Amino acid sequence: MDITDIRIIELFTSRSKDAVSALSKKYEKLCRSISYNILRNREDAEECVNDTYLKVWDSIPPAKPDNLTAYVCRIARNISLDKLRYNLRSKRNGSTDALLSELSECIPSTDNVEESADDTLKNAITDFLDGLSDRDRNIFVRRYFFCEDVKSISKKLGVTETNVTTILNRTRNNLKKYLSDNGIAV
Amino acid sequence: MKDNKKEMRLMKVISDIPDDMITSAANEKTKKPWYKNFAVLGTAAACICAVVVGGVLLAMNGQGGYPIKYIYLDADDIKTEENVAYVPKWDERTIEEQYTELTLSEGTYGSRCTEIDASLIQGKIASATASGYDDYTEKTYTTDVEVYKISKVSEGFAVAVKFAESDKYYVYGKGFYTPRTLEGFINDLNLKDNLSFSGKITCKNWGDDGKTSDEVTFEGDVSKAVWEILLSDIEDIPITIMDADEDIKYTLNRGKTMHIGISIKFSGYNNIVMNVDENGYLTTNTLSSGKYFFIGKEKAKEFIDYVEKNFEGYIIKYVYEDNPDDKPKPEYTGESSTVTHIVGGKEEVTTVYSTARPPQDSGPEAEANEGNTESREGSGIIGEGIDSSDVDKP
Repeated sequence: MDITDIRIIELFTSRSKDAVSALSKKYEKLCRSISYNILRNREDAEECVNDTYLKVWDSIPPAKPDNLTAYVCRIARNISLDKLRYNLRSKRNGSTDALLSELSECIPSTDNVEESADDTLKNAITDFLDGLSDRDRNIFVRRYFFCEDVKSISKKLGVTETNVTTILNRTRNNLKKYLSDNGIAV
Repeated sequence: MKDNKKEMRLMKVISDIPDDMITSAANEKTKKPWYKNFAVLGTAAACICAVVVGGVLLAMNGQGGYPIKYIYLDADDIKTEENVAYVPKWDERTIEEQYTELTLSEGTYGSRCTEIDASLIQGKIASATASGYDDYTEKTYTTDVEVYKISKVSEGFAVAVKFAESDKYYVYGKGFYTPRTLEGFINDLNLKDNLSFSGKITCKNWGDDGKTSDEVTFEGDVSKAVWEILLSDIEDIPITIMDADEDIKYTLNRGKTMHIGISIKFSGYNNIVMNVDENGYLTTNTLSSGKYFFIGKEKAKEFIDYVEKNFEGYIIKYVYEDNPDDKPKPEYTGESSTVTHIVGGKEEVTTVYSTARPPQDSGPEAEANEGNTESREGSGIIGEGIDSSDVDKP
């Protein structure tokens, strides 16, 4: 963890009034990107970023994350997903629909099987990702954790969009097979 | 309507992937996309050969056409994850890379990893402690240093540091240093002496959706025009620091904009930009924040017109060597065109194509050629990715 993160956590731990602004200075763009990539709505993204700060304020202390980047990203993502779930009840969202449609390709056909526990599913996905090459895993995480679109991933990682799409296709198929082979139901 | 329950569950579970997987993916954002990174492109000249296709004309705002310059990127040597994401170990860093932070009473300064000539050093300001963090062992190191004033540069912006183990001086700067006015900005950084220009100016048209189209690069010495048109009569022009909201608003509304490649000598701020847009704003990503100044529409228009009238322009298209489908083919315009390969920095005319449209060329090949002009998305708008540090963004 870099020294800035250590200081930000110290500020939260000491309940400093500067804590949120320090967090915002470093993580606002990242949080905003994650929220916007999921929700595709600036107002909703703004609301989720603010909720993320509040959640970090409420949770540190007692929490003392070892990796503040991952901690903050995870909170922003979860809040945004909750908002998305709420939004999906009443309206559609083209970009997110595409993302969810892709993810449906990872889900084994086990409708008649009881779904696996969250921990079982989480461990299976972690093990699967652990077995991927760094490049394939980073592309998968960028697409399905950070919810970046293919074009953006292509630009950032210096591979063609076709390559990104191919890698994602292959990874989804392999994940589906991995879950199926291990008897994991979503 | 499908409820997406399973997909949402999968999305939720993916939230819990290990921290290192998240940071590994996120950390790659710390580098600019390599094909946009002109510093990388410059140093990777051996990997690059360019083909200039003359006679291929595209209209830009109805002002006539510009030739397309195709730049082939042989990316193998520069796009590997090791090269892009590798963090050097403590012993592999030079001393100014090891001790990256300096705290003085004026605030915290960051190492610019840049040596400064001793002739630019004035008197000693203070003795202080510099600190550095080793990402591998997660240890923080400290060392005693001497701090010096840099000639004609405000201490609020940058100072020089001398380590006990070295007789060299290194620049440490305050990334969030914020002078009150444009004039103060110029004086405090001594830009009259220290501002240099890359010789490249890119003109982009930013639409209301934050995307650009018709991007034209001009080459020429723009320094006189910058000082005489843009930076003259600048008393009391206030500075505004861009936060994320300002950034978005600005990106969406800037219209025709000239992006001027600049560097601040001695400071380690290289390959950054100064932008001038038709709405009268001058923006820059100098230091660690975007900042803008309203200089007026008249000045901005005069400058944009000057560049368009006086410099040669061309449209750049980057082509991946590992994607043969992207390779440009001569377009059939009914005119002849010269194809020039640039190898090792030298232009060599190697092929002359006849570009008369053959009657049989109306199938997929011809359709594929139509896709050769690319429209690049804006870099400043959120949603493009998780990286917001593109070189052309204030």
